Amino acid sequence: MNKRSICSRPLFTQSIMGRLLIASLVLLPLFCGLLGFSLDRAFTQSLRSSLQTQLTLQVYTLIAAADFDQQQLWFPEQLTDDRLNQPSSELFAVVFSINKGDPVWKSPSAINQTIPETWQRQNLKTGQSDFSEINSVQGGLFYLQYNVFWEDDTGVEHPFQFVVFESQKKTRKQISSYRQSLWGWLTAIALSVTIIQILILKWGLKPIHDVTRDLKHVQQGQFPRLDGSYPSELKEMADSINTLLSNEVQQRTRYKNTMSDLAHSLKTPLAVMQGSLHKPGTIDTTEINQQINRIDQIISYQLKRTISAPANPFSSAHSIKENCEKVVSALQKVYREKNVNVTIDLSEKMTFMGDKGDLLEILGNLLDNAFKYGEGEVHISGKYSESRETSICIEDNGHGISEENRRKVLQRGERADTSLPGQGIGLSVVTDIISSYKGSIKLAKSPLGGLAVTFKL
Amino acid sequence: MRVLVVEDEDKLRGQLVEVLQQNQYVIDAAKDGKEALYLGQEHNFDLAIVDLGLPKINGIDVIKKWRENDIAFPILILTARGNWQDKVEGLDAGADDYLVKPFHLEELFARVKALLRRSTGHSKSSLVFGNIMLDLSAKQVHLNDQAVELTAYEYNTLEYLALHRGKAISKTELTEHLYSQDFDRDSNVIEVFVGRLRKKLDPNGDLKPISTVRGQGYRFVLENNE
Repeated sequence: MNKRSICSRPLFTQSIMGRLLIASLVLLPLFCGLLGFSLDRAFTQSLRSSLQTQLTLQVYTLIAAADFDQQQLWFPEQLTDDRLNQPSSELFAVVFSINKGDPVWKSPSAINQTIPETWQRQNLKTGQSDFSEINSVQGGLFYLQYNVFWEDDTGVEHPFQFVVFESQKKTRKQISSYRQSLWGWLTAIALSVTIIQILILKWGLKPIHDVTRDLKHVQQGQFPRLDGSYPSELKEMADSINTLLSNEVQQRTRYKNTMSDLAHSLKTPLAVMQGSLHKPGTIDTTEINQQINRIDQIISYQLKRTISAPANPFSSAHSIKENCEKVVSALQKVYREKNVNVTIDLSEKMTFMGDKGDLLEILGNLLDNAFKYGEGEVHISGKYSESRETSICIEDNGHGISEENRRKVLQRGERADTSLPGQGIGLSVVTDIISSYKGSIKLAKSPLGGLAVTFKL
Repeated sequence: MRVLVVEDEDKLRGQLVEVLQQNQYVIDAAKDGKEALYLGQEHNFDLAIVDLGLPKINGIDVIKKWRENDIAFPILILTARGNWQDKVEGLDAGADDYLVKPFHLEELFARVKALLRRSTGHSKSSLVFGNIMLDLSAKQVHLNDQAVELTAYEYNTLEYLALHRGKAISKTELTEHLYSQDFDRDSNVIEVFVGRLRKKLDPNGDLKPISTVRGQGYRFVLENNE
């Protein structure tokens, strides 16, 4: 199902690199477009502003050159800016008398120039200027109009409007050339960024490709584990995969060994039973019963050994105190008549990282022994070290176990075969589970008088 | 004593029913959780033996539902896996004891007797009332240290009354706990048993261990020496 859903996606989005490239190919033109647009706007604005300054200067120069005499304005034949002297220079000036409304002077460059009909003079106050543009069939014009007045000897004011026009051709050319260069550069930058990004992605994603390649090798059985040198972001994942792989191998070996042990150890009681069935006369039911007990013990022991799983890196944390209380509450029911007094001295912080069933198996077996063999007093205590090692001690006030027997009851795998009917397998199962979590177990004499079982996890 | 056996495996259920009946228990049997739930809610049992792995409704859920409905008879669970997670879950759900398969029948009887005794508030396996002693394990009665010859039904009647000492027990209740469902309830056989018990336990008529409560039934009146 998963495979189908992956296959139904476009081929390019199946890889991380494809996805990142698609994202950048969408983002890059958008970024370059917005950047180009804003640079274009800034350039045009700056050009207009510089043109306005130039035209204002032209007006000031003309005002400075003008002379008011005999009720009219006079200008020198040769103006300072040569472009105003040359016809078709694309810069011309016109001076209007505001009272009469007609042009009173035109610069020599105004010959062959027509002011578009759509243009209208603005009613400005003296000293006020207006910069704008007009579009016409002949081509657009920028203009700046400025109002000024001259006072004659009699004190009468004569207002004039100075208007300087400049063709848009030059500015448009400048803008067009700027745009060509801008978009050319932006395209080149976008292409370069894309190429560099592909290279960065290839370099950045290389460790993932390496892990995938190594995993394939592990799958094909060429390597037992992931042994490459991976960056820190992938190292933890690789370590977890390695732990899982090693757990899987351990579990497989455990199953294999258990099956082999089981087959081997069952054959002895079966042979004894077969032998007693062939005895002449009556069947020895005691013997058969003993052998059935033995078979039952072997199966229980081997089954529990197989089920107990080695520490899994993805296990959740279980409260030791909470599970301890659960087991104690269950055992209080079973051993109600013994009126066992239990004290639990455990911190809430103590947790067991592993399978809950394993924790209950450890606590169940140890506490069951304490309830069974104790004389009504059970004490559970625990320590929690800085190195996150938890140590739990379960004590009772029974007869305990002699020093020489303490080692025997912990021996793994040996007792099930040799134990007598009725003897428990609890301690050896507990030892097996604890060692699968790389913990340790120790038996000692308790100050209460009985056995003190201490296990560290 | 009336016991409910819940086990899906026909052979094992048959064996359990057979041996318990041989030991004078009145047995009802169920082969799945649904049937067990119904029987447990409909009848007043003294004990239930419940296998955890049951079809339709699993053993733990059956126990939980019984307890939710305030059904208080003791429950012994049978578990095949024998791991502590199952045991703790079962006991937490409301069971009183567990037994791991395969088990010895002696072990089963010991647990059944202990649970029955406990459910009536007795902690010892023998009940002593003056010079009368009931050995609950051996199912025997002694009067002045001499064994009293009782039939199985007589013993069961006495045991039920003695375990519920001080409480008036109706003939119907006694019949229910001594006989299986198809027994004729109108029979005066209980009166006969009580009469014989009185003669055997109190030949001189001084002790009067079982009194008749008019309209209610019988009551075992002797004080326990425990």
